[in-house]
Amino acid sequence: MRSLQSSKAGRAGRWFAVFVLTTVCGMAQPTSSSHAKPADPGPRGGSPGAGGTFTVLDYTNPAANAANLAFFAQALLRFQEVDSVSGTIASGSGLGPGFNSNSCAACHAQPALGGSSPAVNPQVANNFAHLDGASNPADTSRFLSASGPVREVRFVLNPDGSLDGGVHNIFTIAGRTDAPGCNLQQPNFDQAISSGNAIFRVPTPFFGGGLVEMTSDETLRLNLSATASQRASLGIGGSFNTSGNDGTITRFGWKAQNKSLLIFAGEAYNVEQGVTNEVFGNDRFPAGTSASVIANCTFNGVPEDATNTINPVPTTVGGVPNPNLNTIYGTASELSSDVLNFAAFARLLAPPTPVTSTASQLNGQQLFTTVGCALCHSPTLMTENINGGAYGPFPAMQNVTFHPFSDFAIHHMGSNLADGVNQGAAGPDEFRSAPLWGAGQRLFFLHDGRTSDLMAAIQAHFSSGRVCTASTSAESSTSQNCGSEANQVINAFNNLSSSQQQDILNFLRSL
Amino acid sequence: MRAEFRQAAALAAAVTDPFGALDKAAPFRAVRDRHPDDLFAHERYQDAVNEYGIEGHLRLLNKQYQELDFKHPSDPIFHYLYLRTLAGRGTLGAIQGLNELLAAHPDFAPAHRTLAEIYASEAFRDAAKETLERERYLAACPGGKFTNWPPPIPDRSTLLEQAERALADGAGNTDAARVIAMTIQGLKEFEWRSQRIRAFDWYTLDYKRQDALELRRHYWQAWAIQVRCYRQAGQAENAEQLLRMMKRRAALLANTPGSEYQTAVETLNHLSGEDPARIETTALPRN
Repeated sequence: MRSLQSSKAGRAGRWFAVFVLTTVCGMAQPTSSSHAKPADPGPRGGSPGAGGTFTVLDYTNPAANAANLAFFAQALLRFQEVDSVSGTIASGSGLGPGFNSNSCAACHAQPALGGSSPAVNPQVANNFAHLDGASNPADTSRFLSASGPVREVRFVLNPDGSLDGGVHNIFTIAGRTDAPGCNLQQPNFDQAISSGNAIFRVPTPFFGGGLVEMTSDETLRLNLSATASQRASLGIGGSFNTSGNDGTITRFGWKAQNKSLLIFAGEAYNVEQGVTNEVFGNDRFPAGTSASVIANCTFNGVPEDATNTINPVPTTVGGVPNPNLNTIYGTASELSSDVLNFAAFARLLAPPTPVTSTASQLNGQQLFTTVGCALCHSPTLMTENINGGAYGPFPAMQNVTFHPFSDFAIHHMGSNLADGVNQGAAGPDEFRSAPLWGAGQRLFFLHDGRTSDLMAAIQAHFSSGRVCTASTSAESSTSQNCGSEANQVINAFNNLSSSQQQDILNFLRSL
Repeated sequence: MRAEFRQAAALAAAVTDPFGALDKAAPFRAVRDRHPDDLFAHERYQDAVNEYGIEGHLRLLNKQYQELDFKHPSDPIFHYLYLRTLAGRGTLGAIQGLNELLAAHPDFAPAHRTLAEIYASEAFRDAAKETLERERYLAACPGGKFTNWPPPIPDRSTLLEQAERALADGAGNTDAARVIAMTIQGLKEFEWRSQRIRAFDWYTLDYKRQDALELRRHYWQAWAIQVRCYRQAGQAENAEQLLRMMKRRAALLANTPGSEYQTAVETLNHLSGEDPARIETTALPRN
């Protein structure tokens, strides 16, 4: 130690100690211009920093590794499948009776397949309302636009005042050429919006989903408890949404309501596209739909998507004729259902690649922790060690340190963000700490995609008043003044200099 | 009762909506509701739904009789009627159930009749069993009649051909809206016909696949008519919009270069050749 102090390294060490001290005390020297008003630099350009799979999935077995990579490639194709009602217009079948999109890839597209809402909203640009003769007369311009986010609509309350929270599909198949006789009407969105009963959600990206899935409950709990005192001092709570069945932590979706990627895929396929599957096997008609309308709008047996006991895939990747077509043989992808392919695709998607490198970004990274953002947006987690790392399905994804910038816990965010929807243990104003990896290329922020401006998204974390806890009442969080757990952190952020705030924005756009 | 059936048939025939399955079955349902204890009234209503309905209507029928079966757990008639809704839908289950019913009630003649009808169908043909069940039924009900299964499927729509002719005859003076409406209605009629096949296990999977392939070709035919129609009517923007959609769909087919892909490419090339602007369609993107 003594000898080091006189060396160059020793001087650097002392400088580092001073740097850390000043950073922790919120006095770090600005690295951006200190006078300019901080502004979101906007989505990072260049090549997508996400969208592929891991370079290696199984380092223990080259054959298994090749098979896993091929599984991803085939699952990626399945993810792009477009659905029509009975597979007569587009190759996929099962669309409707209600739907928000006709393929997964249409909405999970930014910056690459598996991501979030693209710049051009396919719900409008692809004319889902009138595609293939569909009628859908409702005016959706109050919540959908070509340059706005892809959205789903949920209603907070049922007409009788009881809690709803479910998705009400924007479009129906009525009028489509492949739905002759169907007369299912769209919900009354205008009324729901006017009465404040409609809330919106945008697609969550899947990048790194497999790593999240392979993180143990213990890791998540340890991570959360490690900052308990710091969070408490800042008024931050945090708890986990859990499965009502086995009590384990659920972690996918805006309110961490879904246990696994397979459940997520199954639910989304049913809810967003109307395709019944082996996870969610029932057609979804709005409550109160008459038996005759249901009969007139039901065109397929259920489930519409299932395991393929006979190989139905005519060609393999690259359009090569499939020698196993119509046999009991085939790849895991070919013989699996769509939802299993979707889940596999999400599971094998590598996490986004950050480009944090400039002085401003690096300073922003420090400040992100200093002001307390990292108390919920946890920078680092680790996947589980399964059987010594040798026998799991994807050994290369085991014991991996990754950087989701989320604790996967749910937090009270107050009235500004509250959507009045309960999902599992997540109450009306509770949301999962949104993983910030990939934020650099995200176009729309917050659960409803209300802003494209990172600064606005940060400020939306503040909500004055006391934090409302233990409430399942929709009104309690939307009509009362419920505070946000993030208030003190946002205050700390706002107390930073303009250049420091800019550094944080630059850092976030480097993720 | 016969007069009521005749009247119901007349009312059903008067329903002009080709997809109005429930409307067509409604008069028979009304007869059944007037005679809730009459087996034939129930069967005739079931036959009407089978004759006009698609998946949703058949499923609804099944649920209606499942409910009646639950409400009358010791009444073989309602269990029989429930099992009868499975004929053509899950026929092997219907056969098994009817045989179990007959094991408990060997003299329940209608079950013999339904089994005879099933065994007479092409998909489940078994001449020996058909003869046996037919004889058993006729022994109990001399002069009894049998229903031919499967019920008829609608004829192929001629509307696409009519639209083609209207386009050719119009020669620059085409009523675009009328032609487009004809193609849409034509597609719906083809879809309906397909639904009348798809919903039943009277037809083999291979037959259903061939039918679906034929239907997909009709889509490309209809879209081509629509593009020509828009062009002829001077609605270039509509034509272009539709062409873009067709190209997107062709691109999705590029990974499955079967006959439908060929149809797509040929259709687009034809349309390109006809277009004065010579739209490049051969270089389809592959995904």
